[in-house]
Amino acid sequence: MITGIQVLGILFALGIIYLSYLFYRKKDFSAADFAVWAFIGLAVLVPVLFSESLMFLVEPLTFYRLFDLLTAGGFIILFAVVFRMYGIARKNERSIDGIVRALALREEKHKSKR
Amino acid sequence: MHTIAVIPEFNEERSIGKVVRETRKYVDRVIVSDDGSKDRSGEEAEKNGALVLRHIINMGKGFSMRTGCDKAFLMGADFIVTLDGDGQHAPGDIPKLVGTLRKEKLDIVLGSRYLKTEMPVTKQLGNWLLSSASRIFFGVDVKDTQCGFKAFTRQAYGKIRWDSRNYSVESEIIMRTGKEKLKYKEIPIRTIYQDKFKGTTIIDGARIFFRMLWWRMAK
Repeated sequence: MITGIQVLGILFALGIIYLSYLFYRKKDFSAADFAVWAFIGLAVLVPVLFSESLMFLVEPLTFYRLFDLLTAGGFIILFAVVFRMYGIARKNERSIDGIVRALALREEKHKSKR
Repeated sequence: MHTIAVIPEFNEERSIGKVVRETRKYVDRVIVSDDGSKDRSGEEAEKNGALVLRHIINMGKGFSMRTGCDKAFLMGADFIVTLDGDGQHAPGDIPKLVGTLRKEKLDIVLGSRYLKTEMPVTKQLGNWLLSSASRIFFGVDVKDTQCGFKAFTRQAYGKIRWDSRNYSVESEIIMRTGKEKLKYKEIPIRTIYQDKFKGTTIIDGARIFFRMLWWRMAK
């Protein structure tokens, strides 16, 4: 029997796969982006549908319940994603800084040449 | 000796023309760093004889100031004066700032609005807090930490060149002044408060304080 939390998990995973496909069709995502996010969606779907398949990890990792394992796993993945996003945001910020300043100085240089 | 004034501004079409005209009387060149203004302030500044640098988007006061100061540095300025574009600083005080810098062989002269103006109470309180933090954290004893009216030498700019994009630029300059052991002096300047909703807000003040704390810990 599928429990309420599993229904939420399935909807979430299908949502990820659907949205990544949508972004791919709109050409916001490349084929590689779509493949990565569809894989992540499927990676969520598998433990949600076949949660028993992860039971072998519960004891060696000293968790009491499978739910605890999934929650902790979710947090770790979330932290990794936020960390990666932060790195990208900082890199973009630096690039924007450089572009804006270079444009301001270049525009003035062109003007003074004219 | 070549003196260049740098005026960072954002949407100041009503005041920038007059500020540029007045400032030109006391310096060799005026650079206006237009921080992505939506109005005609860039055109106004240009019309009044300033060299205008335009950011295509709004980046913040600190960023804007650095673009202008980098340009002044490239143009060979011996002294750089920074002042606000909203007309709150009196350009007539420039000779006093630069004169003190030259006469007393200092690296940086900071303007202080504390003694000569009717500063709003909330700003006075915030300033007191930030000024105490500057003294305790960086050993720099100034009364007005958030005044944008200052003058510094070419050599000093190389040492204080800041990373702050926003209003914390003034505190970063103070932090670097302390860190680099620069010779500084604070002198009173005239100030006219145009718009109480402009400038540093309470939220900016809190953000600046936490940045100062961070700089202190990272020191």
